[in-house]
Amino acid sequence: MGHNIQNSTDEARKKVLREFENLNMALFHNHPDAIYMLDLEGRFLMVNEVVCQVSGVGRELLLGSSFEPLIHLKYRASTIESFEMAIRESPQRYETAVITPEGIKYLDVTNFPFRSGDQVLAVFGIAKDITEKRQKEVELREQKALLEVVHEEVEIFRKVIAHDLRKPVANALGFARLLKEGVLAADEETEAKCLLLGTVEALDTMVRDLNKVMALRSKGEMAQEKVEVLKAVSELLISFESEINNIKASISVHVDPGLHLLTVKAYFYSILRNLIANALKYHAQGHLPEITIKAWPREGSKLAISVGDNGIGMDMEAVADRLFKMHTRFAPHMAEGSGLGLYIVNQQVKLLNGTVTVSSEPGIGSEFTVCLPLN
Amino acid sequence: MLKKVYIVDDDPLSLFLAKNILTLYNINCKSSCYIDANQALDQLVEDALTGDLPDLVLLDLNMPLMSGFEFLRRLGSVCRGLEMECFVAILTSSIDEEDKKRCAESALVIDFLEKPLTNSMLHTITKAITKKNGPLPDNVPGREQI
Repeated sequence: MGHNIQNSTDEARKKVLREFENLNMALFHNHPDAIYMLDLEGRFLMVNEVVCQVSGVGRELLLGSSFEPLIHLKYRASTIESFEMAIRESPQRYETAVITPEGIKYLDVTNFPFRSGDQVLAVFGIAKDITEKRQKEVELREQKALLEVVHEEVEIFRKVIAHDLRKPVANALGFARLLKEGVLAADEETEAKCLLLGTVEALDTMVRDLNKVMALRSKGEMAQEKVEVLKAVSELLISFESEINNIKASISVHVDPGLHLLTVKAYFYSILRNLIANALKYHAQGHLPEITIKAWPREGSKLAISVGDNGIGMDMEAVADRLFKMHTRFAPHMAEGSGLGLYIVNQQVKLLNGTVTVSSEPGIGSEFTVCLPLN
Repeated sequence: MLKKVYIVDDDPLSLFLAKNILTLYNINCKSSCYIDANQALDQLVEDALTGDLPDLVLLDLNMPLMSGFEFLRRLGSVCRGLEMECFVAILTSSIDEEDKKRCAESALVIDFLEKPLTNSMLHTITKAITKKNGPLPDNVPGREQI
């Protein structure tokens, strides 16, 4: 550099050099990004204040020690490779992450060789903290995914309203008009009245189910409480007493008295209620319905609970991928299904971090098994 | 006046209703209810062979085993094969515009009705069928393109 300043006195030349060095130092220290110099082994030779702030390590500790331990394991190999490329070939720009007392921070790093003639003396580095930007990107991606799900669900809701909810409304309208005409024979009129009542009841169930689905979406963190499995099963069976008697179903329960779990009680009851209701509803003609409810502990501190029946069953190959979707019914000649029951079961099981599996065969029966964490 | 009508619907309530409304306004109409779309299809093939097709088929769309669309597709190929004509009116509780558009693509469909069935709907359909069967020659081109 000195060669460029010809015809200057020694004094003037030194002054300019000093000023330039001061400027360099000011830039180095006041730059908003982390700036550092590494020797060829990756040890810090110089660091500005931001390096200390980002890494959470003091200057005395940093100087003379390698950058490697600061780097997140996942990024270590690629970071070392980039550093070595910067020595051997050309400037490198890459993303990495460092572990700091404040947590993982993501950096956008530029490394370039510091040469004197042909010889590389050190590696210069500039690291921009992009943690916040990255977090925002992740959040944005999550929001987008969520929006897509919500959008899809709104579309399904529209379909539920246009088809499933409209159906009992149309029927009720039809019955009411027919009754208003007053042209039916006495027995037909009685039948029409009963059917009208049934239709309005189905409508009521569907509106309640839809509300439940909405409630699942808007739920906050639900409180967990201890649930005795046998007690839950017994209580639910009592609530189904008249249905069970009507179809002369025999119910066998295989649940150890002490078995319990820590879970969201309302969901647990709702899941079981839906499964038992389905087992009763889809019973087969020609033989008496038998329903088996079992619960047992499973490895990985889990609880399995199954509801099996000898009902009409389903062709799993045909229905498997649609079974837990909203707005689907499979059973023929069953107009009362809202198409929401199993969707609700699946959503609730998911919210409890569990899984639900099905085995079924037409004419043989179905078995639903729910697996939930014990706490 | 409609004399012979088939009603295809998986919902017994809807069948009861449609049948009663139909006979209320078409006193001499003979109506048959099919809760199983397959059976209705078999019957239609038999009718075609004996030359005794119904004046109209009222067809539901949202049926779990065979949807109305599938029924239309199969009936379409049967009609092509036997060179017969069959009038179908969709009778559905659906108020989904997409369904309406999809049905309009089928040449068999002469009307799209939203449940519940009314007298004025029956009136419109009867007029449409009379018009098609009346002055027009019996095989309308384009009718076979399902």
